[in-house]
Amino acid sequence: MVKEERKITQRDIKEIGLNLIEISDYNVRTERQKENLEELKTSIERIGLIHPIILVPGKQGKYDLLAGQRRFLAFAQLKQKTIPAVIINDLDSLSKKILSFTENIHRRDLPYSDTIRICDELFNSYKGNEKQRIEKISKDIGVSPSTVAKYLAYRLVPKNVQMMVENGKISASAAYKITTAFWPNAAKIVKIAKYASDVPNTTWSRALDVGRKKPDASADEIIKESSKSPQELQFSVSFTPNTYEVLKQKADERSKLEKKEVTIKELILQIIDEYLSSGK
Amino acid sequence: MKQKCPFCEKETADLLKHVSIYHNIKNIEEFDDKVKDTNEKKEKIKKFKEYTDSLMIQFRNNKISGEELRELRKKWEVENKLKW
Repeated sequence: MVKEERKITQRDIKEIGLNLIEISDYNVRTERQKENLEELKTSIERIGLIHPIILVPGKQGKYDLLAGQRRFLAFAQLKQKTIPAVIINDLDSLSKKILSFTENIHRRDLPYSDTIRICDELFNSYKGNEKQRIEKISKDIGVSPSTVAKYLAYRLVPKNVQMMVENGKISASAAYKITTAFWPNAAKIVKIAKYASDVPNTTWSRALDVGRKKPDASADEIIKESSKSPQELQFSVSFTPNTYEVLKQKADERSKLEKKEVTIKELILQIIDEYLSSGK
Repeated sequence: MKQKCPFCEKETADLLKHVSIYHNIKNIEEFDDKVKDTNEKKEKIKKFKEYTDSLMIQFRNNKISGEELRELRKKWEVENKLKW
């Protein structure tokens, strides 16, 4: 792990030639973040670089970039000759990846698939039972164990859908909900995810409900049914006290069976659904 | 709604999280392959049990000796590649 535990001071920051810096294999950003550098460049021109980049000694007198790829690219585009950097020595390869990851995750701009990748790599590298490994990853990268568990579960989202999250077409949680709902049918998951990227949340959420009620329905059938707007009908019904008590009792029984709360209103809707599905 | 894990039969509220962490499944293909292997193994164990039950009946009826029973069981395991 990282051996240098003392604070980084101004003395540790050096100006390093851009021509001596190479983007490290340990840098967890797998995409060159060339887009949208304009804002960063403007900020650098106005106020300089607030956070130095982090380097580790590389081969033939050069340095490997561990963290700060966007800052490095911005400096290169601004045709700067040197860049402020902190050089860290004595790290093993796993520690370099952890350091690169923690540097990026706290900027909250780490691409989704890189986050999944680093958690996967660390989970496979560490020893111990599952809980111990998750706790170790949590301590090393500075996120909660439940977040680590979440990223490990995100590995199961099909790659096409992960790309959609990367490209901002759907959220990570939507991708996960859809994957869970239609698991393990990859084709269905991808189709519903593409649908979800084009419609409002309330519409694709209906697709999850339809999928639950009709697990054998095809993706097209699910999409067609969920695209229909729900029909609202409002009326009030008066029950005798006895009937009300019976309905309440039935709702409680269903709640126990389904392991979630079922209200009297939901019970009545279920009864109507079941009656209509029975074909009587 | 709880679901049963197809590998360890544990009931879980989040099947994906469970299989990804406790069975280190990383994608749908791995999941499908492991489900197939698990089902094949269960089927093999079921057939082995049926076979050993029939051998026990023969043993009790003095049709085969104890040693023959053990050898026949072992032979079945080897021929059917049953790994515990």
